[in-house]
Amino acid sequence: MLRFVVALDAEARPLVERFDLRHDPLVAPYKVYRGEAGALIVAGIGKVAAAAATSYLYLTSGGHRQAAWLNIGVAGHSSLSLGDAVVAHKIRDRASQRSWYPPQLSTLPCATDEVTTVDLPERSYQESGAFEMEASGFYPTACRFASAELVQCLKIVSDGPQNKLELLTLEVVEELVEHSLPVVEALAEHCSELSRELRDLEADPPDLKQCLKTWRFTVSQSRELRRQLRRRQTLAPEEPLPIQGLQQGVRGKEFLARLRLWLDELAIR
Amino acid sequence: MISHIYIEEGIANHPRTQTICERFPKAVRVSCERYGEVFNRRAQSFRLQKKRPALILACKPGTLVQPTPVGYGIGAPRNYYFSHMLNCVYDCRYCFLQGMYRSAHYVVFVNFEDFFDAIVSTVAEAPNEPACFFSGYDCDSLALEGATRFIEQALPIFRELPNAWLEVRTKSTRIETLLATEPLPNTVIAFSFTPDEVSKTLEHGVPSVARRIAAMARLAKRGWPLGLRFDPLIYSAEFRDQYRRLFEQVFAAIDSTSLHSVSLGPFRLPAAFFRQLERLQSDEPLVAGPLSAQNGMVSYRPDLEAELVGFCTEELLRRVPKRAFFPCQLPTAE
Repeated sequence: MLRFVVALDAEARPLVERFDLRHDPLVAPYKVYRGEAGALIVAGIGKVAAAAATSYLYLTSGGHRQAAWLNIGVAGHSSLSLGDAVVAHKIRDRASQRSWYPPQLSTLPCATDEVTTVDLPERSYQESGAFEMEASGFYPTACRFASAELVQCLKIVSDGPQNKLELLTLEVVEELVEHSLPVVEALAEHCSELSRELRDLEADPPDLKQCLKTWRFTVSQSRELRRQLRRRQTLAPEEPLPIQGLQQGVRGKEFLARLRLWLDELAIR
Repeated sequence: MISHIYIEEGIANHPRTQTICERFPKAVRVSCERYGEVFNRRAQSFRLQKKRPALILACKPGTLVQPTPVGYGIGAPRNYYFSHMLNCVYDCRYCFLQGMYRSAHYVVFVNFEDFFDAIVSTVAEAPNEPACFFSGYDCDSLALEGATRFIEQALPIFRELPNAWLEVRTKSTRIETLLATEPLPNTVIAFSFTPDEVSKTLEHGVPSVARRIAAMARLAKRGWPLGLRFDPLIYSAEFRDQYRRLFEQVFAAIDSTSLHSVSLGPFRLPAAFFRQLERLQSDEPLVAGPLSAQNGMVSYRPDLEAELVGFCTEELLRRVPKRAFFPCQLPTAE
């Protein structure tokens, strides 16, 4: 379950093609593409646009907490070559001087680097690292919707002291993103794997929905039911629930007590 | 392998920062203002980070030595702990750290001298009353010794403090520093054990029971006072056989004259930490076990806990003198 946030159509096109995404005609304020792999939104330029689009994509894509969020885009860099890709290990917002540190858990086929988000295009390239305009809007916003390990920024070097920003065209941007697709895919695969792991950890245990439908539970009893059904999943996944003699419509409390007792006995065998 | 080292700006030029970084020449160095910017932020997953934790080098301000919880001690009237490191290189499924922190990154506080000063001042508060200092409360004391050299630098301090004890609690077999040092009579190298079967299932990345026993035997031969820590005790239907075998293995390998203390404590966690454990490893049989919550703590059902503690106590007291036996005294309800 991937969520891509990009600034430009030119950055989106190679991703849309590679991840087999289709334009969603029902979405008006942004260009959104969807497919089996996930969804992509074209945010526009700047950190505010990136933050707004990230929220919008979250709300219009089912609100899944275990989705992986990737901000892919071009950036300036003081020393790397055109087309080099870097994953942000630190995102610094130049205006506010705030910093964020996306956890790096994988060995990717590219380096990690500091990424500075600027409000106006960077032309001096005097500081080290990459310069772009979206990461500090995207990252903290996406971290509200997902665990930080699932939120990453990948920047592809498009300009620098030897390659002036003024000469950069949308065609070149598209080419650069296309050229970096293997790195994007590796990052996407890694994040998807983490996302699957979290999803499995947080998945509803078997029979939860059925139990909630059959008996009445208070909110705290529902939480307890979930815990006990997870225990059952670990201790006796094949065993049927101890529901003999329990009628539909009885209070959930009775079922819960019976379930707990049954599991406690199983746990000491 | 450490791929990224986050370094607080204030200690970037600290000699110890440089030395530790040199141990990981391929790691990317990232500067941060405070370690809290990286460590334990909201929306982090301990379980995911445990796959590849980063190292954070920082300076710990404030109170560096804390009194231990009630009931925790190995004979001294005053007991303290300190944490020069947060988090552990091992992945023990019963560990409270995963309930306490949202991050699995390792934090090393490089201002060792401040810790040593705090220890010396604490001893000086009541110089005639022995004080015991527990290292390895929020980490394993030896597992990262190759990089940090903390114990190596702490030992000379304790050599000058005859009325203070240091407990170096560990599951590590990285004992080179200790073998190379003249043993201190007031420093106890305390190894934690669970039975082999339990260790294989719950103590991921930890040296085997046999290797730990072998390391302990080498330290005994060198003359270091040893501690045995059977904490947490883990229940299973076969616990009697498992613990009996473990005790036989351990006591066959070490001479009782090397033994300073033996302690045990049942598995228990603050309820909030346990809830976090349930979220992180809901498929772990330990979490699904016969546990109950009482007085804000989650532990084994009282009858099972009494059985487990009773059996192990009896077995241990057949092998160690009562004066060296320190069961963990859990606080009881008012």
